[in-house]
Amino acid sequence: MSKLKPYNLTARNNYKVVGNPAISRLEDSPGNCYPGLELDVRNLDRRFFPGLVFEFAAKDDILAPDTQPWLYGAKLLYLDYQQDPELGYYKDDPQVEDTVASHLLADYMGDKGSKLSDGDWYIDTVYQDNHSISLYQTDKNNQKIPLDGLVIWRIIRNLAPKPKLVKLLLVQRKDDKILDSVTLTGWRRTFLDEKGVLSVAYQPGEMTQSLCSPWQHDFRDCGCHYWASNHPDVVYPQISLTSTPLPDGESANPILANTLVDWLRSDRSSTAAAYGTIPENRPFQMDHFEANHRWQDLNIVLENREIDSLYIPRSSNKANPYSSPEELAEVLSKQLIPLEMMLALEYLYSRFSVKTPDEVNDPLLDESVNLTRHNIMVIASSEMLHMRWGNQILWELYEAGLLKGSYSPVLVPAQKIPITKDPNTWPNRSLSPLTKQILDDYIKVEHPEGFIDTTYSRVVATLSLPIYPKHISELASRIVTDGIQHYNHFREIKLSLKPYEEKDYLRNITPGRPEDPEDQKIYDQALEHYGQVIGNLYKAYSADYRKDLAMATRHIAKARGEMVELSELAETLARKGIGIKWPGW
Amino acid sequence: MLIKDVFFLPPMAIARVGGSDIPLESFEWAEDPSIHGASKTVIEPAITLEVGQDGSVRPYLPSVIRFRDGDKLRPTAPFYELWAIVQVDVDDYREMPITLDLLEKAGGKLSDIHYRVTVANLKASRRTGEAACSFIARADVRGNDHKKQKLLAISPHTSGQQPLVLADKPIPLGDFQVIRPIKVTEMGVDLSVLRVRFTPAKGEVYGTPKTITGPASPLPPGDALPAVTERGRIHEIVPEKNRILNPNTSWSTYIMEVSPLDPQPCDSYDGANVGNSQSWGVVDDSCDGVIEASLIINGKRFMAQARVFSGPPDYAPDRRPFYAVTDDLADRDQQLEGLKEKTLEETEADIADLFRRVWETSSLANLPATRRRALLENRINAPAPNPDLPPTTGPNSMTQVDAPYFQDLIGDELTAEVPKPEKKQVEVNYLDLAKRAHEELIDIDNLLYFLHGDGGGRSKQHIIKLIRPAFGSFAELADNTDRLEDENYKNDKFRDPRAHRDSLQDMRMPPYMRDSDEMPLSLNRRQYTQLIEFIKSPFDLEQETASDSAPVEGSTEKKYPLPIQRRAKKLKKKAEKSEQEEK
Repeated sequence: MSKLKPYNLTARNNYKVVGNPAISRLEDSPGNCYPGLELDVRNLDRRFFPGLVFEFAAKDDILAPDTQPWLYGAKLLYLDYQQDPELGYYKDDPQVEDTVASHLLADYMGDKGSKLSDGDWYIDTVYQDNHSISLYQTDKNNQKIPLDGLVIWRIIRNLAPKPKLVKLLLVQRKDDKILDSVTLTGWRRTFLDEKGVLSVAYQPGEMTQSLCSPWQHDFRDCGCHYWASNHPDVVYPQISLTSTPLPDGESANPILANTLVDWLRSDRSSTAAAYGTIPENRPFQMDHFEANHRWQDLNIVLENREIDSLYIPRSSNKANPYSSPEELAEVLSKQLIPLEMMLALEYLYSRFSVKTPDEVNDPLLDESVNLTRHNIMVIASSEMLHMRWGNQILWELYEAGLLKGSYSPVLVPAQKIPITKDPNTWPNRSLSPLTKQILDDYIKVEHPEGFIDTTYSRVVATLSLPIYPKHISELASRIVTDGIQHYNHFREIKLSLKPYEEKDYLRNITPGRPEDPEDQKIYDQALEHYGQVIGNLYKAYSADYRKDLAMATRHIAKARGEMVELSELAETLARKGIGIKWPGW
Repeated sequence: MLIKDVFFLPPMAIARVGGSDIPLESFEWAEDPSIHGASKTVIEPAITLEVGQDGSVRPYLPSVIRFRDGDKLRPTAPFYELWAIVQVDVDDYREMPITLDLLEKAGGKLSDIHYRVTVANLKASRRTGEAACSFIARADVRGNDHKKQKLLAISPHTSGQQPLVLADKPIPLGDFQVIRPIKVTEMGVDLSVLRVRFTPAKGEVYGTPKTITGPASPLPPGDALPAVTERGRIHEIVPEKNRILNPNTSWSTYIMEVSPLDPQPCDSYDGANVGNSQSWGVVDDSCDGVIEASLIINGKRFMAQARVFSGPPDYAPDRRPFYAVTDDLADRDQQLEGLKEKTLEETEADIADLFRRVWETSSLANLPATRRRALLENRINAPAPNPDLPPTTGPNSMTQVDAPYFQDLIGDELTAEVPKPEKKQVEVNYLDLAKRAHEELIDIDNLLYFLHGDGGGRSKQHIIKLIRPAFGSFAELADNTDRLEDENYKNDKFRDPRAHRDSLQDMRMPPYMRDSDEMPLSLNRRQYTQLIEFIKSPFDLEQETASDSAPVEGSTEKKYPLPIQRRAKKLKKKAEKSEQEEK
């Protein structure tokens, strides 16, 4: 059922052991090295060459200047061949064959091994398959100096496995002088054995030895930001037990639903928004040492939201499916898609009625208009996407043979605004500035129990029936979820604008063709772009249905370009008090 | 029945520390089944094994998942099953779990099995270079001994050495238990399978009697206070009951950066970056190690090994990394065979899973903060010769100026919404935009249209450009050496760790995160190659009408329909078939 893919390392690693939570599998552990993790993958490469153990001596900061270059590199720590499973020595086989392994073993046991046991040895050059890399660079003074240990680690890390051989030129170094050299031929270690287990060459404790001590130190201090999947940066705060969340699980409080907080905050009850920089967040985060004893206060985060201790699994909820693909198509093409298109245009119009920060000259209102303009643009853009997804559902129903005939794009806006469940009570579309009244209407439109949500829920329920291809229902489900987020975004806008009068943040705009000839020119151009947007979308969707994807790409690109032009002209006109009356409105 | 070999499943597992005595129940990753769930990744309870007083297990399906008891987190304590390769006929070998029945039929008994666990924490010894600063626990348990065995670690040492963990004050690294097999099957689970369980430690920290309180650096990660200042809030470092370590070891006097052999980053211990950065001598109870089973049947010894890595909790258990340890191991050991028509569906599933994991990680990341840090590092450490060359490495990275990368990422209509860097609120919008860029791509339909369909008007080349290339293979890097002299060097096919430009952060995906060598993170070579081949290679020649979707350089000769086209054809055939059947 699930398309979540078990990891394909070996068949054995795919096996899900009864009783083990998914987070006990290696696929849950970041393939990185910086401290605070379950293991450091760089430790694999310390023993990349059977029989030898290296350390990649590196600067504290890889990009920092070279102050002691001759100390860096792949430094040989010691020889460790006696029990290396790839050398076979421990088996004490009297019939040592003439193999690379036996030669390598003989080298370790002979003069080369003796030499390597004394002094500071580094890898000078690596050879594989007629390729070689000399592990040096040229500094600013044109002097040859060793590469940093971490750069070498990356080169070594990318060697090919057996059957390709690896040759190493090792040199004994003292400062910038080379005192001696040794060449060895071997291969890159096979890290996992045939049973899927890490090679026994790696000693207990070796894979975690380079991690943070204690790991709590790095939970506070890591600046790498690769591991949000185990150590979140920003999350939604916990929903109180006394409040009922919205159907998608998010808080019914629009501030909480739209505010990401810093997960590592010391005051666990704080709901202040996370800052957009590390230094700004730092004073409010747990300190070193503090994390040593408070790490269990950090909340578990599920569905991006902090929980206290219990997770109640999501359950499938029910809606009444439509009786046939034809009825479904009727709802989509006559109601839902036209509504999405109409709303996108209504929202856009309202968005252009809101002043920009440079028009308001009030630092507090400044933030509110920014938030308003941004949120409405995101919502309008999302409605446009829904319009496309609605069309996509339709053409995929035709593709699946569930509808007879052929698909034709639906690009006609609805006439009325669905502020209630009963279509007979809907007001006409209006092209209104973002007044407090119209904002309330938009909130009603996007309400989780409103017409659009309940109708799309029925679409999801219909598409979840076995006769429909599974992938189609996901699009509809996404539309429903987006709707709830629109609802919270509009409510957030309402709260943000509440202290102000409409005149403080609204432009005085009127829809219709202006009288000034220069303005008329701009207005006509804007309408021309609008026509192009619709025309190109029509051609793109038709091409998508025909699976002429190259054609679809061209027209979508054109439609987007036209949309940008339209948006710029609409903004210019709105600053002059002119609103665009969309054709047919 | 002849046992030919034995092995553990899973071969390797992660244990996660927690202070509670009750282990975390089992759950699996799943898609949200609710109408409003948009198929996002959630967890769903799975059959859990409760260990009873007698050491046997009872399966049950939890209705909720409890992560915490009081103020203690539940630990993740993995089970391992012992399996065998069994010869059931002349040429018929099968893998099956070892049950009591199988053991009897093969001529063995529980007391013939011997388990050995060895786990160690070498963190302090890795830094000091002294084995006496490591601590190791071992347990040897018979197959018929079902008591919980404490894994008490002490420091090995020879005459004259100062052990960090004293024999009379050991550090518990967890427990090991051989589960009592019983001949019962419940909820489809055969309880006579031979199982063992590793339970990690409680997540305690330990120090010396002097590790009492100290000032913590108030600075952001990686920054150090001037050596003579010790500002910052003062906290207890280690609780009194855990101040049991020997204060006379080199771990208590360790200071980073004295040796070039420090693990990097080296400031990752309690004491670093405050004052003279002297270690407080603190260790934790994480560890890794080996579980071995030795089974003697008819005079022959069979050996199985498994690994355990015992580390921190996963605080976001329904979110997965897009580059996991398993991805790393696969990239090292498994050669990618190249895209083939017969494995196309499997590749499609891999790619879909990758994009889902990308969204999961990105949904919890503070993109504006990591972007700021990364761009600051670009500027401080090593500015590019031309930071405005797209994708830019300067302050305009991921802004309207960063064309065409930025526009291709989020779409033109929203581009205008992102203020230029000098304006306010730039941070807030990045969180929204990251969500917008990734969330819809967890749906396979949207993903396929993005990669192969109309791509929101982007060409394949543009989508490819948005993804940061992986580091080259050894052979590629070897052949690249001469090109590194050019200071404007930039290679869109692979990255080179020696190339200055490749060490700089930019907005290519994944943006502003660090890899294991502090370099900008990318997918690994296996992941990257698979993704790029998938985007480039399969396309239907019959449908080619525009240069935009012509094969890009390096694509394979093999032509076959795009997944979207293939699926449409498949659905059409199915529809035609059912229509015929109706007739």
